Amino acid sequence: MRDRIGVDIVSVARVQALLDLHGGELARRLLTKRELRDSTGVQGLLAHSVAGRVAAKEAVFKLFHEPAALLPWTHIAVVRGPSGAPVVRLTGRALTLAEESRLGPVSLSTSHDEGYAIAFATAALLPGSRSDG
Amino acid sequence: MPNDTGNALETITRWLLQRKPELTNIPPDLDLIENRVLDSLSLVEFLFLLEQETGTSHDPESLAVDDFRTLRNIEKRFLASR
Repeated sequence: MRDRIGVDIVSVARVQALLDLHGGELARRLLTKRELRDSTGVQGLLAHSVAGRVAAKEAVFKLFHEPAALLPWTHIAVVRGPSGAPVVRLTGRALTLAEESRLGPVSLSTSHDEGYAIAFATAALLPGSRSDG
Repeated sequence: MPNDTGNALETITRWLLQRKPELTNIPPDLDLIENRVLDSLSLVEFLFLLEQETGTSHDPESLAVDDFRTLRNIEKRFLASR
């Protein structure tokens, strides 16, 4: 059984620029309500936290192998699990894409350094999935 | 206040050129995705811009990447019906 992997890297400065320009309106299109709360500090939305979630969602979306589809940003939620590690919750269109791909549970890891956020996602292909390259 | 089609296309083209300064113009059939003029994150901002220019909101679930693939596709999908 082959696994799928997805990775993405996002510039924190790029996200900060977007937040400075568009503020909450754009963030609401990228993040769920819980993610917005978790990414908000004393001075407002935290660019490094938003960037990490953006990278995570991109990495997870790459698992679906659906290049024709738009990334369903608010249907891929990244929350902190009991151990502190990020946990992925799929809903709506993202859940449908994962089911159509016959993906097992998604594992995710993220990191930040030198102004970048990076995320790495994996999931096993379940029996019955179509094989592809 | 929504822009008329010609002004909207001009605003959109100018926005795209700002993202890719090495381009001096954007041919109508240039693949904006393959040429990295647009990526997943900038598509969100671009849709935001389109909605401001046209005064029309779009459900992202009704859209596909090909709707944004070229200026021709963008004009057909988002500006033609105005």
